[in-house]
Amino acid sequence: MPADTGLAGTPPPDLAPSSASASAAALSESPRNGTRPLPPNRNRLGTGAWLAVGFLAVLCAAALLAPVLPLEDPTRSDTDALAAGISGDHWLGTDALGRDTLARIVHGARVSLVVGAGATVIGAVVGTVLGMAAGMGRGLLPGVIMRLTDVLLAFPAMIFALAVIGAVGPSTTSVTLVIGLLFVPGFVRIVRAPVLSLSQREFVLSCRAMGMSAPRLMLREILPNILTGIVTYGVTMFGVGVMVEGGLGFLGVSVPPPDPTWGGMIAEGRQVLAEHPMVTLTPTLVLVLVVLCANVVGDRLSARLDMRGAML
Amino acid sequence: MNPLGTTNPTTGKPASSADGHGSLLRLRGYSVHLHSPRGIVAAVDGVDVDLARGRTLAVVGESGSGKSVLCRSLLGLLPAAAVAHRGGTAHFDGIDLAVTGEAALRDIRGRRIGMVFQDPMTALNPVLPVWRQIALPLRRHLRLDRRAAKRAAVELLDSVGIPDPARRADQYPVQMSGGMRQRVMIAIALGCDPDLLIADEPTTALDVTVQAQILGLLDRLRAERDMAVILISHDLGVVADHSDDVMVMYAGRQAERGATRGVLAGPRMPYTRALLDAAPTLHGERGRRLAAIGGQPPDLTRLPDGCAFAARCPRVQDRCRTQAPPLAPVPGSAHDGACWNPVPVPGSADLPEGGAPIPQETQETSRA
Amino acid sequence: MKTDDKRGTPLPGAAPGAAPGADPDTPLLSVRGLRVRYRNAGRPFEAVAGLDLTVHAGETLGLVGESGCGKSTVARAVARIEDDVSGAIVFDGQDVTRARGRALKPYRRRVGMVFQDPIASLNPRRTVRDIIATPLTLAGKGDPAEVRARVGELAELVGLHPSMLERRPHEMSGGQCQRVSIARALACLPELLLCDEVVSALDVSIQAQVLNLLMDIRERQRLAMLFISHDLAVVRQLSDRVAVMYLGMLCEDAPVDELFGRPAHPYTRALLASVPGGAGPGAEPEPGSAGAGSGPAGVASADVAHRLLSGDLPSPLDPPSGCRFRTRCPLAQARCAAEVPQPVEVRPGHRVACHFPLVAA
Repeated sequence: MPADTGLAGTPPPDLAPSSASASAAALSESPRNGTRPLPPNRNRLGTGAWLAVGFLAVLCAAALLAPVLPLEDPTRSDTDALAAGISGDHWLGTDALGRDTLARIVHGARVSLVVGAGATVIGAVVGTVLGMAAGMGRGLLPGVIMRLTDVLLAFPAMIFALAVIGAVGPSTTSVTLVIGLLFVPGFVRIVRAPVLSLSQREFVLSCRAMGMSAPRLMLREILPNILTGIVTYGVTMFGVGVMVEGGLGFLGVSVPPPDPTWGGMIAEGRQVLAEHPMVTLTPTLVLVLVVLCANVVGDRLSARLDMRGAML
Repeated sequence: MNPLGTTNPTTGKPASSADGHGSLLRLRGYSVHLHSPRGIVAAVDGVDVDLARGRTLAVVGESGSGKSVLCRSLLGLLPAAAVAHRGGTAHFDGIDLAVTGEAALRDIRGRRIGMVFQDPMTALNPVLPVWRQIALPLRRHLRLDRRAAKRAAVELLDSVGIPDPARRADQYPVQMSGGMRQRVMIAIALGCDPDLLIADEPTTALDVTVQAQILGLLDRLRAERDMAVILISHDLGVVADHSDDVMVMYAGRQAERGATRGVLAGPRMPYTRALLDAAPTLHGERGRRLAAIGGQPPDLTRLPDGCAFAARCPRVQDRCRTQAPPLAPVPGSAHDGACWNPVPVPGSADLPEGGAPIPQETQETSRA
Repeated sequence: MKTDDKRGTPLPGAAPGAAPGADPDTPLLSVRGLRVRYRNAGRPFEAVAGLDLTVHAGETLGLVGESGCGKSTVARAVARIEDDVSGAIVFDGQDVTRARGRALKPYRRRVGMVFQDPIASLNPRRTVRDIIATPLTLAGKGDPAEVRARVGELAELVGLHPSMLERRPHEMSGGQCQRVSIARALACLPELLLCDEVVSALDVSIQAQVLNLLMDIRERQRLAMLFISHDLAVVRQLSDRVAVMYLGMLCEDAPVDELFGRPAHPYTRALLASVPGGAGPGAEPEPGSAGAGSGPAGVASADVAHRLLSGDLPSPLDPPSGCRFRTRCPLAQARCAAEVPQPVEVRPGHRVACHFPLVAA
């Protein structure tokens, strides 16, 4: 189940062990007074990550510009070329109904990317608010929030999504909302842990001693310190969102046909899989690439920001 | 007690050093340079040490003075990748540590040198009962079986003053107080009956009443076992009460060295003087401004050509900025200092005391 | 009022009685019967168990004790960042123990606090300028030019070079960070500064710089301080009066020279005897002779009380009955287990909470 693996999530970057490169600095006695050494200049993401960023950027641009790009109509059948291979007319071939695969992938990207990004933003915003409340709040509030996230995590994610979408009907909005809701517990946890430790840090205590209000304290003092963790986790979760949307599309509960979705394309290709594997493989490859790219970027980002975080 | 001391063929060879003591630990021009993100750091730069059995050498300095790096380097605790360069010579009981094989080195470090760290909480393994942690080196180095090791562990706990040692042996570190944990650390370090005990700020994490107990314990054990002790501390009060000799370090270099009383009563290097003046005391004049040392310690990656203290020194001369002063006997005192323009002797001159370190000349001849 | 100080009976509900700021004898800060509770694994315990303290305007009260004695908790309670507090915290005649929100704002301005860890005290994502300006913006001093000027003044006051204002905490040393913390605490011209172990993370030479700075500022601004430290020499250097705490309770409270010269509580004596290099003239200890021996309970002589303490502090989760120090006290007797000693004035201004105080005849 893609959703299950995704929602378990990567460990919060702020909690991950700090990088080994700091060890040499740590050896030269505790940083009592000496100005602490600056981190090594590793502000590069690395070639792989830049390639991943490039691929995602091209895909986003294409999806955004799909109506003005010289693409074929993704719903028009070319009856002369059913399940055709790569050709000058159809750069990535056609599907079993003769529809242009490139056009369908680009238009499908509009759904996939919007759902992936939308769900991530919903999860991040709601999860951050709840996570900070759970980390800083007093009384019953933290307990209630954590129990609710436990309940949500205990639900089989795919079944929950199928049930809800089945009830309200499939559309980009409903799919995005459901996946976003499923993302909330992960963000709550990734936010709450560092907030708990930050809330005992002396700079937070001193702000409280100055009488800073709780919302301001969270927004101005704490949020900047956990933002990198949220962004990093969000990049990874974007990939997961795209994957979950693909899964829902495959099961036929995403945006209904004839509008193209990647999951739907993969599902349709199954019928001709033996004779024309490319019909299924092409959208699968694109889906895999997007998820992979998101993971690579998230991973490199977390490693790089961690290093900076370790110095702070 | 110590099986190694008699079987080692090299023991006794270098015993004929100038002060009559056999030097257990002998460093000459010992340097450790470390890699850091900003370049190579001269963490320890040309340090000479002579330490005899039964004596305590205090190493004093502020953060970044290199006192901890020195000891960790001797114990082989610095990761190989972090060390950029090691210079000078280090002899332990006549054995040149630089040419000794890895296995023999491990044996010396595990068995003949004990280490006590600053923070007993992080130095102990939280998931093992304390006797297992005490027994570990006993089983590895002395090849004791499980039962004998446990018995030895209980005896060691008893010898470091832990009440009801048989019951305490089965406890975990979290069940003990800070002072108790530091006693366990000392028991571990004493396990193989070491000749040298290195204590790196052993009481900094402890309360003052417990600190007094631990330092007293170290003194008693040193006398009982005829150990040599290196006591690293930033607290001059601790040093004054619990050491025979003192070495003051600044920016990885030796600033002043000699008998503790002589150095603390009549410091000649302006840094030592300033350090003594900067610390408030229980009987000094109250409420007045303290004689703070201005400025910050120097950047170890870009040490000045001359004396490392020159930029903060009230007695600085032109020469100090261009030429680093060597550690040499200071006229009018019985100890050594590294200074071109030493602080005048307060009042009447100090009488020379016994047990002063070997002067520079003897070092040169002994090496040649 | 004076009587409160002298008798020192914990009266949690006691009204301050005096009109604000009218009587010069009215303390600036008066803490009565302060109790602060924490929870450990769901079990509540008292980190501070009934404490009376007063700080007069312009006066520095040193608060000493070992870890776990609750001295930092006292400062945090006074700074109103502890949750479960009972008793009374009266500032300039007004009870602020239960004030909230807007009602607390003037108090927040008049009390500043500096913490132990110089680097953790500052938000790593902010510039020094932002950090020092925070209390000013919170106080509603909105005009950016005014704030900017005031931040510059404050930086100069604490000896920070203007170029440092654009730096972030990790680009500075511990001593510089502590100067920033002090500047921030002084931004709104407080009358009381709470200093919680402000120099214990600093090297000796830097510690002296910061202590000098605090002494200068105190003199210039007639600042009262509650100066908390485990270092007796540092407390002696700075304080006018000193209070000694043990396991959440007050042991002794006296003018500084009186406390260091004629300590009357056995714990204070043991504490002073434990300071390395602090044995005093004529009692120079021989290296190697300072035994870790336990002092068996015996006659009530001052000599016994000078011996080093055996054992460790009991857990504050499960404090001893009666006098909390009795398990380590060389003079403890049956009465000490049965009865909690109340602070009694043994000399003018010198309070001791002990059944058998060491008062010279």
